[in-house]
Amino acid sequence: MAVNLPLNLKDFFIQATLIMGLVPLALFFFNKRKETGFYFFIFYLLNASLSDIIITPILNNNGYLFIGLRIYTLIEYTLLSVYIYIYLNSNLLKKLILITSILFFSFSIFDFFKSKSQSFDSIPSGIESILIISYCIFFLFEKIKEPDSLFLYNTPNFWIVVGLILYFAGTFFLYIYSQNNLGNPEYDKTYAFVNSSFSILKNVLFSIAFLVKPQKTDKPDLRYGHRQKLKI
Amino acid sequence: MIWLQINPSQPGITTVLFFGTVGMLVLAIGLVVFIVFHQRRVIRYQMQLQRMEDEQQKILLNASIRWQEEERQRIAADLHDDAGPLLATARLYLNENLVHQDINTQLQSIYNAKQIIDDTIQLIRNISHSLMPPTLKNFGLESAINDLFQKINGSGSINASSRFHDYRQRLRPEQELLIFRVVQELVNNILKHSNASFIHLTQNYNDNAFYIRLHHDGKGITQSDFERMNKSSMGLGLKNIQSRVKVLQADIHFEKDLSQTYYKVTLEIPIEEEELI
Repeated sequence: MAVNLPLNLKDFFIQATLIMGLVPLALFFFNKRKETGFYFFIFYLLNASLSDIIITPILNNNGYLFIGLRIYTLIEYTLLSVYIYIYLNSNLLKKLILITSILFFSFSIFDFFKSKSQSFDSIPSGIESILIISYCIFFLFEKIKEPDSLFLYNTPNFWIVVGLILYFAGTFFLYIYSQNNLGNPEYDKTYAFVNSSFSILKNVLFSIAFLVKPQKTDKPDLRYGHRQKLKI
Repeated sequence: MIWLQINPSQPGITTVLFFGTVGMLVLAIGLVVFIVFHQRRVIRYQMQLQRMEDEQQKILLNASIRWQEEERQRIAADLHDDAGPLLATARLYLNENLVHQDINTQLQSIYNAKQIIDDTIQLIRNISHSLMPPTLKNFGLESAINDLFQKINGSGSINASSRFHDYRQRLRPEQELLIFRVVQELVNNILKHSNASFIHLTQNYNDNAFYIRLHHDGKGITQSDFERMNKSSMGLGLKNIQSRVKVLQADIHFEKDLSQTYYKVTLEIPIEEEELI
């Protein structure tokens, strides 16, 4: 079951991931959407691309890669949770996000000092994956309950959230195993393959999100039932 | 999550990773597919509800148009069959004055013509009052309903009484007219179909809602009968009640009293403070 990628294929996957990371950014700037939530999401994309293209290679050369990845996990979590927080309506779910975020930050800082700083942050990454997937489920759950929401797949947020769910679900086990296995050449290849594949898939879905034009459905507004205001 | 971490020396790591990743992916895709299909089902259900609502609206609109047409025909018949012949007779009497020069005959014809014109005036007043009761316009719903019940009581065929408990401020004229028409239609139905020996109307105002309750001891209908008749092609009067109730954004409820002796109709009209005048 081991993934034996030829070296050039591994490089191809990595290059493709870097290029695909720029596509949703380009589409966003092309079809500019003025929504506060989107700006946080764009910061996340910018952060991911900058990290992949510039920061990670520099940190890797200086031996600070794992510290950089820990900081990246925190920034990624913050931007994505703020993005979802903005689009949630339920105060209860918002409070839940705030509480879990405080716990997550506390744990990440604790883990940073407790673990060897030269190791992959598997546990914070795993928790981050679970939390972001949970927030995405909150978001979808809220949207299907809204009587006046559009068909979900006609909204950009749906594709973004699906991209996040698939990416974090797909890389969950990969990140969990990385702390003890990164450095093993066979595992490194698997890591590159799985991480790149899900990154590409995620960026394709994000690109669809910026291509989708929200359309009005003829779905009825049944919020007021028969008591809809009639002027007499 | 610590227990999930595997040591590099442990064999089959990629197998675990593979199945774990595939499992997570299947769960994620399953979740997304479930949400999409669930939403589509909900939307389809809501559209079906909307279609039913539209059909109901169409039935009510048709009923309203039919009622208007019948009302016009009634007025046309009243004018044509009653006012027309009366005025034609008055004209004949006046024409007679041109032929007969005898003063006594002329006076008699003028007197007859005057009588006929008085009758015509009364007839036109009745038609006008049936279209818009002057008591309702000038003195409000309470007076108009009391007036209506007194007239019914005066006929001697049924014992009718009404009592307003809390009507210090008048509603908007459009609302009063709609409520009056609903009450009129309900009372008409009771008189026509129920064989009741009494009708009693009470009014109350509670929690920003205006209530009108009608009791009678005849043969009545329940809510399910009302809803069934509203969906069928019969019961034009009930459809008119329903369309007026809709315009009022009110609720109407038909039920049999707990004692199973009386039928009760409750009209609940939500009132906002600014709607009172």
